Amino acid sequence: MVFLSLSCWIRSRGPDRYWKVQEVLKHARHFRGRKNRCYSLAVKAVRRAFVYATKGRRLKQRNMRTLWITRIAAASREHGMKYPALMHNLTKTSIQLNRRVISDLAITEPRSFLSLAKLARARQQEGLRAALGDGKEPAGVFSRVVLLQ
Amino acid sequence: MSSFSRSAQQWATFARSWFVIDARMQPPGKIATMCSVRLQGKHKPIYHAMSDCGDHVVVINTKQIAFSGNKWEQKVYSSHSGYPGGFKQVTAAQLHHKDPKAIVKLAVYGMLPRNLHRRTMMQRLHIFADDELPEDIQANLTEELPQPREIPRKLSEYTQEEIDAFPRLWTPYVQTVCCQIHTGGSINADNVFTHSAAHAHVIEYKHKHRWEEMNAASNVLNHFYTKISDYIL
Amino acid sequence: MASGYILNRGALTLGIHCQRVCRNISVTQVREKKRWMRAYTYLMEKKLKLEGPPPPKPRSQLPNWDYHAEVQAFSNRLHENFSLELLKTAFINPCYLQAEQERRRGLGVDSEAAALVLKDNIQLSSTGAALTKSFLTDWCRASFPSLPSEGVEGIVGHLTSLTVVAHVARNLGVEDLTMSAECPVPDDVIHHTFMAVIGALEKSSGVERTGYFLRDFLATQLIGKDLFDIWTVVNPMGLLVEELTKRNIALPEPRLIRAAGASTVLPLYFVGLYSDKKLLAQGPGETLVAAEEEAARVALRKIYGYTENRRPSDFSPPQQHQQPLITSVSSN
Repeated sequence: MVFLSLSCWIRSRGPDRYWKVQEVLKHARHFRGRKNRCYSLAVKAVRRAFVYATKGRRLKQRNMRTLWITRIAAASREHGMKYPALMHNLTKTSIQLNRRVISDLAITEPRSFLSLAKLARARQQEGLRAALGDGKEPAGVFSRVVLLQ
Repeated sequence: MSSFSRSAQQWATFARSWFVIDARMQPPGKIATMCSVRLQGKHKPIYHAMSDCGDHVVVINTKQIAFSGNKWEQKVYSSHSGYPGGFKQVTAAQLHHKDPKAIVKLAVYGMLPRNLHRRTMMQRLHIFADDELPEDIQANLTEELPQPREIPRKLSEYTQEEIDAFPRLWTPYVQTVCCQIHTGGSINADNVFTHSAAHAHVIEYKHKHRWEEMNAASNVLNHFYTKISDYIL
Repeated sequence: MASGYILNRGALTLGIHCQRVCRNISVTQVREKKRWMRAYTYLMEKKLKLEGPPPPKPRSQLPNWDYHAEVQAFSNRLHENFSLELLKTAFINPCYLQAEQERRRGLGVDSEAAALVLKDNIQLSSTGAALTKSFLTDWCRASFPSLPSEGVEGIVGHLTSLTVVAHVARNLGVEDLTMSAECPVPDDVIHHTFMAVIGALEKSSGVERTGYFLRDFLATQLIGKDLFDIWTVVNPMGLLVEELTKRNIALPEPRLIRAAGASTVLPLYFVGLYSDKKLLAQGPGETLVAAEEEAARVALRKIYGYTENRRPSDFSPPQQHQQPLITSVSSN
């Protein structure tokens, strides 16, 4: 005799908490102390950790940019230029390399970086010489100073 | 150009350089800036705060550092031992008299970032009061850094011809006419004898002073960057 | 409410009773509450821990596998016109044939009634290997004209070595198609198969096309590699002296040009090699001897034209090679 309806009468014993707990503990297994195994401690720590992670995503971008700037500043000082002067003149020569690429160039391709620095230096001098109005150009550059005259 | 093998390239990239700075007649703050940049490795394009890529810096002649203004007397170095009554305050002159390395060391220490690498970086700073270096440090040196400030010349270092050839606003009559230097601040005083006489205002006075006295007085004014040896002794 | 409560109680007692007494009643679960899952997961984890991961299965024994279509896709993926018969032959290794015959014998299949009419790839593989070797040697000679024959041998040996060829073949998806006795296909079998594929390509599309294939897939493995990682030279200074005497250049003189931290445990020396008062090369090192050896290696790289900043090799596709030349001429 088979009772098909019998099993439907069995009382539901509520939700299975185990899986919900595991979902939280999964993120806390590498934490220090009892946080990595006690749910009530873990849930708080995981919540904080997620908040930090969200904030960290913005912070990382900011920190990386400062690091690139430090590196470019160091590399440009090797060639006797200052960072603001370099970046400003690169922008004026419409070189659209971002700071990440320029800092990578400074590390892995110092010669390419040197040519960028030279270009920026030429642009800087060109502006100065155009202002002086003596019609001279920086060495190795043919620019609008002559055209303006 | 560099077709080095990888291991050699790595070794050369992360090798530590040894810089020398001569602190004779230099402001300690400027010396400390140069030191802290190099100790942290911020002068290298491979810089990263965690990669410990700083260089060694050797500072010599710290006995001869020069403070501007009245800092030898006014600048106060404070410390507290933690015990009651353990608060100590010494002026820069006193501290320098006690330990001629201390001022530069404290200035560099204050400029380094406050983290766990700070003491490690300080260990790469080698300070010497004189210009005599031990053999093992001398063997390591790679580069001498230019001094941040040009050392001004004293009047006694000028030859007689140069003094005679210098343009003058008045002729000092020995024992008859006398003058006093009137300046806006002590900074411009050296211009009379060194660089541009036009900026200095010279007023003749009736008081009689000897040429030598004025020379001695101007010598002090000449170096608003004062040496401690002049000051204390 | 009260009646509902009583009903619930009744159902509960009845349910427990039934579970205890009659085990054969299938307890259908409430939806979305898989109470068996926890125990089952634990069991499977325990099993995995005890037995270790299951052995890998060849892709051909997994579902959704059409061998013919996969072979054709392989051919099309590479943009080559393989003859499919040859390509299928190229994937059949002798070890697979042996294993298959053993298996049939074990199953008691009559060898005449169901004969295994498959050809193995030994022939194709030998032609492919020979062609690869000769082509790569020619290519190296053309790309690095000043490299001596030992160097060329070293480079060709590296490019045709088990690890490099197996790496290339795995990334081209040869592993799944290979008929092999063992399941994670060993390196030597996959090397053998790849050579057979090259042999099949040569027979289907000709030598020139195979040359481009080899250039594109094997010669590109040289990119970013150092000459002396590939070609082991024990005494670079001796080799340099030999080369310089061959070219009638004055012998090199090592000179210390830069040093840092000489009295520390991390010293750095730069040694320059001067020949006739001209700087040949400079090299860094931890000791003077190491720096001198490094400088000799740098000088050798310069002499052989294998520096890091050399002109990149020409990997442009064969048809388009002509067109830009023509357009540039016409535009001028």
